[in-house]
Parts: sequence; structure tokens; C-alpha cells
Amino acid sequence: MLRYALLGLLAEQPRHGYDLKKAFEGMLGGTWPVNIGQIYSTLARLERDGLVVSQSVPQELLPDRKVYSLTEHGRRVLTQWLETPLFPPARLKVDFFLKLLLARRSGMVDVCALIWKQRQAFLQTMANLTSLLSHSEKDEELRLLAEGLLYHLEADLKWLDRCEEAFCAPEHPPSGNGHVPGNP
Amino acid sequence: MPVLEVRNLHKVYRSDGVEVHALRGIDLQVESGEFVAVMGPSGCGKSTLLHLLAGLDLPTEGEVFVQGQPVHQLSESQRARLRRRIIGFVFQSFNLIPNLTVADNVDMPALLAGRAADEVARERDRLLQRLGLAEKRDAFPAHLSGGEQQRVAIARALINHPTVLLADEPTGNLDTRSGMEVLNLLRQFHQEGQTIVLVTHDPKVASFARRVVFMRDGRFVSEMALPEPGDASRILAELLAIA
Repeated sequence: MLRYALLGLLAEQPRHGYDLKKAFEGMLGGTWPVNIGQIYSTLARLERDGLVVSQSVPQELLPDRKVYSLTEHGRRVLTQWLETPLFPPARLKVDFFLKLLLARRSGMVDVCALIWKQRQAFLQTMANLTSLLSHSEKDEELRLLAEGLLYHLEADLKWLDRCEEAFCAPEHPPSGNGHVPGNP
Repeated sequence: MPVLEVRNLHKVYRSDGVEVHALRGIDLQVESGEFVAVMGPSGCGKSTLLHLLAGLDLPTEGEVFVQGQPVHQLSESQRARLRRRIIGFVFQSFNLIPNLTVADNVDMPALLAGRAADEVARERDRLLQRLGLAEKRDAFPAHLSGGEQQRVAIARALINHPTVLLADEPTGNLDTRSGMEVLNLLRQFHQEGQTIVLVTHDPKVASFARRVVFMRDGRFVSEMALPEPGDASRILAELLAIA
């Protein structure tokens, strides 16, 4: 993943290692910190494979700095990666589904309580997303990321409703989560 | 004292000899400044509940108190006065009066409450400004988009500084973008202290509240608090991990 990110940033313009680190982290709002060592080792592999080339640029009072740029081969590899759709298109909620299946088979936890807890977790995430959206009026890239995740969550919540329909009696009281107002 | 309190609320509708239990024993307390969403599928009784809270209908059994006043014991006209003074209501279908301008729609409940016209006009202009509707003051509802109409309805609901704002699927007739705008406005008014109770089937709408009560088949089955989300970069880090 990092290797393609570096290729993409070098397609924009030639950069040195530290510049790449800053551009990468800035692009993702500082949420994916990378150490400079990772950047240099990835660059070394890319250079070995002929995807990037480096050029030493002399600096005043400081050692030369290597500026990297994309090769024709690198450009082709990057294009191919960009053009390949992801499959499966969305990651199925395999982990949760597995829990659901095992909860039913083992009888160790209440399936409906499991569904309620997951619904609450999704709802909290949704609240975080809508809050982010209302605070990122001017940042279109960030908005789109948040909106995309929001659509996924909506689908996930609908699917949970289906799980509830299928596995829980209509009036099944969810046990072991939250408190039910006014009920003993 | 909670601004809104409901005890053992039941509502039974009878039609053609068939009894429908819309509410089967609801208890709820809402404190001043809360933003509560009641969430459930259609037919779970959430709209019935909201209508009882507003005194638009009376319970078959149980009690409703708004700011200590027993709504279930008030006469029709007393309830109408209560709705004008301390309850603001936002409907899914806006319910603006079509042959009145935006300004007149907003002014109406304030003038009915006997407030001075010039004071009402000043307040209305401030609200319209706030809701991005300053230029629509003299327009008629039919010439407004859905999102604009709902914002006018919010201005109308807030003009008398209600103790509690009730909203019934306020984004149900809006596209995603104007729905989000309306919800953002509600969130802002809540942050300034407005007590809000809304009912919805849509989790995205409910996620704007700070407390969500889940309703199924005339009963509350669960509830959760939604803590104020933290700073953007922490949220983002979390999101990228689930992406």
C-alpha cells in the first residue's frame, strides 16, 4: 500500500524522503503515521525494481539529499494499480458474522444482545462521522471519505435489522446492554 | 425536575372493532438541554408517542408532564395554549400555510401567543438570517425547496422559545444534503441549550442526538448515550481502521 502511495506522490512531482513522509501523512489527515525508515526502505526497493530513480542534490552546509522521481516503468505499474478495481468491492462483515454464527452454535452468549451491542457501536461511529461532516464544510476530500463510510454503515445497520428479524423474537428484550428506561 | 416526563403511557386505537395497541407502557424522562432520538421501524408507535407529548392526542392510560404540567388532564384549549407557548413541533411534511409568506408563517404562533408585532418581526428576521433564509422572507412556501421549507418550519417552531422542540422524521421528505443541513441546524440549536426530542426510523438521523431510545412494538427496548465525538483526527484514524 505504502509503495503505491509513494509512487502516486512521485507522479505528482519529484520529492525527497522527508517530503514524501510529510505529503503522505498530510494526505490522510495525520491518521497514518509512518516512520522515515519505512519510507527509505520502501524507496530503496522501488529503486532496485526500477520504478523510481534518485538524484543527489547538493545542499549548502548539509550532506547531499536524494530526490526521487518516477520512471516510465513506475508510471505503468502505478497506472495498472490505479485502474484495477478492488474485489470484493466491500469487505463483508466476516468477523461479526462469525461471532453471530458461533454465538448461536455455542449458546454461550445471547445472539440478540450481540446484535444490539453491534448496532450501538455502529451508531456511535455514525455519530462520529456526522460530526466530522458538519465540521469539514470546506474539506471536500474529507467529506467524501466520511460520506462513503456513512453509506457503508447504513448498509451494515440495515443488515443488522435483518439479523435481528431472523434470529430474535419480535419482543425479545435485549439482555446485558444498556438500561431500559422505567423497566425493572 | 425533567422538562418532559411520561409515565406508563398506553395508547389503544379502535377501528372497526379492532384494537391496535400503539403504545404499551412507555416511561421517559427528558432533562433540560437534552437531545433525544426515539428510533424504531415504522409502526412501532414513535409518532403516536410524539403526538401525545405535544398534546395533539390523549393517552388511553398513563401521564404526560411537560414542564410539570399534566398534559393528559388539560382541556383542548389549554393544550393548544401549551403547544403555542412551550412546545415547538416540526413535521415530516413541513405543514406550512401555503397562502402565507415565509415571514407570516413564522410570525403566526408568536402573534397568536399575544406578543408584540415589532418584537416578533425582529426575532423572526434574526431566526431567518440564522437559518439562511433572509432573502426568502417574502416568498411563499410553494416557491421554496423542501430543505428551505423545513428550515422555515424550524423557525416557526422556535419563535416562541419552546421548552422542548419535537420533531417527527424532520428529514423524511428531504434529499440527503438538505437533510444533513437541517440536522446540523438542530445540532447547533441543541448546543446552544435547546431541548430536542425527535423520532425517526433512520439511524443517521438518530446519530445527531446525544441519547437514543430504541422502540419496538409500542415499547422502549433499549437505550444508549452517544458521547460528543472527539477531535477530527482521532475520528479519522478510527474510520480508516474500519474502512
